[in-house]
Amino acid sequence: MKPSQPSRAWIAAVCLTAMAASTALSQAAADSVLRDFSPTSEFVIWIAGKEVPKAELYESPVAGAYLLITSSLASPVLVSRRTGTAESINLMKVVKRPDGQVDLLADATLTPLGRLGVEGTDILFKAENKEVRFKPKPPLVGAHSRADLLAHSPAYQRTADAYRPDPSTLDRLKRQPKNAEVRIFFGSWCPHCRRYLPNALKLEELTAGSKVSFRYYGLDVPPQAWRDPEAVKLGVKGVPTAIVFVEGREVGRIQNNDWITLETSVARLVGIPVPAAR
Amino acid sequence: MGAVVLGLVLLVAAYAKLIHPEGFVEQIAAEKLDLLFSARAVAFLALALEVALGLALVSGIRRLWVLIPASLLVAFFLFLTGRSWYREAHGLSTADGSCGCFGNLVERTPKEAFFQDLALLVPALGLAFFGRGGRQPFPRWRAACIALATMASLAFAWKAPDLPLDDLATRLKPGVRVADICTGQGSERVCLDFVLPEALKGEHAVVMMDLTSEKAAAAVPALNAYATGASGPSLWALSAAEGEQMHRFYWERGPLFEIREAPPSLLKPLYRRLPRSFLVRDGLVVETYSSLPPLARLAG
Repeated sequence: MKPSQPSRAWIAAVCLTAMAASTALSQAAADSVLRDFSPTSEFVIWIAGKEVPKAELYESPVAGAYLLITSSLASPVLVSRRTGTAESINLMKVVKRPDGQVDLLADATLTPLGRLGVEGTDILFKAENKEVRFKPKPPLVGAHSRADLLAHSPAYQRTADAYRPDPSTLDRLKRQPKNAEVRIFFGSWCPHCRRYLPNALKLEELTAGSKVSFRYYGLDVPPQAWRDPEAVKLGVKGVPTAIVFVEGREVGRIQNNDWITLETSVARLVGIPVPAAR
Repeated sequence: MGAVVLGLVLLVAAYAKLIHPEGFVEQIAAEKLDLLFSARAVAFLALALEVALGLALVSGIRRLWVLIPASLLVAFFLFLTGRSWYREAHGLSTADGSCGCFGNLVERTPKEAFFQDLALLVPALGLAFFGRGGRQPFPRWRAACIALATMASLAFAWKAPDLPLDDLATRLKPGVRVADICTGQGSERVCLDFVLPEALKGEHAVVMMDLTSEKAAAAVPALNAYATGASGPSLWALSAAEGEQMHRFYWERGPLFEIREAPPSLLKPLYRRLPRSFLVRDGLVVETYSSLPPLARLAG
């Protein structure tokens, strides 16, 4: 039995240490700046020339930084736009919160890896002698569903959640009897689509089961965007553009400022008397 | 009457250029009219001609040495708008959408510009030729006054960029609603509240920046410090930079405030020099600043 005693003691010591560490971690304060990192799918991560689809990337707009966690690198990397540098961090100093956000602990030590490089639209740096690249996600092209859009850009969900369509207009839209289709042309590369497309996603969710349906069509980056056969066929010259069809016939388009109150614009085009959007 | 109308049209057109000569210089360069002289020299020569002819016509001088140059000037304006129309019709004009979202967006179509100029200038010019008196002595005093006024105008134009005339020379001034700052027509109309809908509610400090300039880069630390502070109106930047320029600025300068892309045709009429900034309260422009906003005061 003697040999087992040191072994038990060792296990007990490890457990105690782990518990102590866990308690210490839960009590340690998060850094006042390097906190509130949210998951982002803005970039595709390439390490040593290979795409790493399982890499986790988080962004903190307040810190002006991204946090990369991947099994391809021994330590997480903090990529700071503010300082233009990449720094490694001890994994133990990264705390995942129940809401999916990530904080760095205030006592986290950052080890410099070097300066960031900008090559076209790629961001690159060296970590553990490997080249790490942040490549912008390729644009979403062609016909796609709401689920596809949310999968491609999860950040749309946050903007959609914040959009509050006018309840009475929404109610009238849901009860209107005509078959209406809202066909939306967008560019996942277009900043204004990032701002307004989530409004359509929210409206689609809120009008589910009604006679209003939504379809989404992604265009490539310009100038290819304006040569897309579907865009040429329907004369789409800018994004986001929503073409509203009632009983299969185009009744109007939603562009530019009409996107601000999308439900009002759609309602007006399907013939519901609502005050002008502007 | 025709001469007075034409003279007034020329003077009104000249006024807009006198208070914002840099914009006119850029326009000359963009139209590639700087073949013989620099764009600045061409701009000031054109301004001198426009002011002198405008004053001469308004003061009733309808001699051939006034009317013939005025005819040439009108013909030149029509040539420029007609050329733009031709370029647009043949797909030779360049896209105006900074981020590509807007496609080919213009404030008034070149065709409209051509016909508007034709309708405004040609009848007035035609009327100016009718009913001219017989041989009269050279109007020495009037000519001298016109020469002096033209020189004074040019001196004013030379100094104008340094004078506090931004509110006068641009469409951005206190009392204007962001929803009324627009470009384009019909379905292509874009207003500032589309680019920055957040400005419709609450208080916001907005800085218009040229992201390729050193001034913009130098402003980032102060703006970052303000943006990460707890108090004051929220901070935004507007830029007509193209996607890659925006990306480069974002990564190389590290702004911690949001930069929104706006079509150049929307931003251009809002400034003479960048950076220029303004304070918006519930969609209404309440203050404008010729450079960065007074960050310390706003942080209060």
